[in-house]
Amino acid sequence: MTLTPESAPEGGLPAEARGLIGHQLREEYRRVLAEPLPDKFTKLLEELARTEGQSESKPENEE
Amino acid sequence: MTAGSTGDLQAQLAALVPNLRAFARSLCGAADQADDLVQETLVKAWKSRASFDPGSNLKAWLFTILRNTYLSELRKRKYEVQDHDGELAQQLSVKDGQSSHMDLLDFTKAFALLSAEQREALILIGAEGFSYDEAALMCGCAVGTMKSRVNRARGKLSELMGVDGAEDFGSEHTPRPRGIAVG
Repeated sequence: MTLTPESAPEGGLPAEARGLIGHQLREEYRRVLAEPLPDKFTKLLEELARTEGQSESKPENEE
Repeated sequence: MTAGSTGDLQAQLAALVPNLRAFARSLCGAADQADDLVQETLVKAWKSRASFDPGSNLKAWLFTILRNTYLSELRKRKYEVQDHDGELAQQLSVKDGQSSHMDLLDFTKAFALLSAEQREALILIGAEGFSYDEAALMCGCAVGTMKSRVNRARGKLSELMGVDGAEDFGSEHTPRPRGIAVG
């Protein structure tokens, strides 16, 4: 490898390669972010909120 | 908890579901498994909401729950392990025998060949914009470890995609016209 420090500030990759990878990564990520949200998530959150008052603070094991 | 906080948290969680889905998809690949993982994360987050410090970063907290859930499920083999290093690698090696140069992969396929740790690191830093400090905290590793995961992930991607040399930035990878001034 004959990379100059300027072109490879870290990781040994030229800035262009890092730029291209970063660009595609964000593009792919945004594509999933923009997908329509299935109802099941809203329903689940509503369900969780509904159970709120009923059995508060049952000891639950956490991660 | 105050009376209003339940609704607040519900709205805040709802707003972050797309990010959780995208992160989960990056980790486990399959869309349906990713959604199961997000639902599990939401339930866990809700149950342990008392332990969340409202002054801290909710997204970081949720992402931490999600990746911990994913990794512990992975250990239990509940999720089918994606054949990242098997099937695709085999296809590559078959083709490798035919030509001196490995066939280049597109981003999605190359990304799938990274380890879970590398995918996670790349998404947290490169797509979500967490700092190395934050990402290291979320993944329970040293900052230096996080940096080297990101670097190794980038290195492997560039290798698989064939963008690791300056000469590879020809017409195929450069959509921008060079040196043409449009008046």
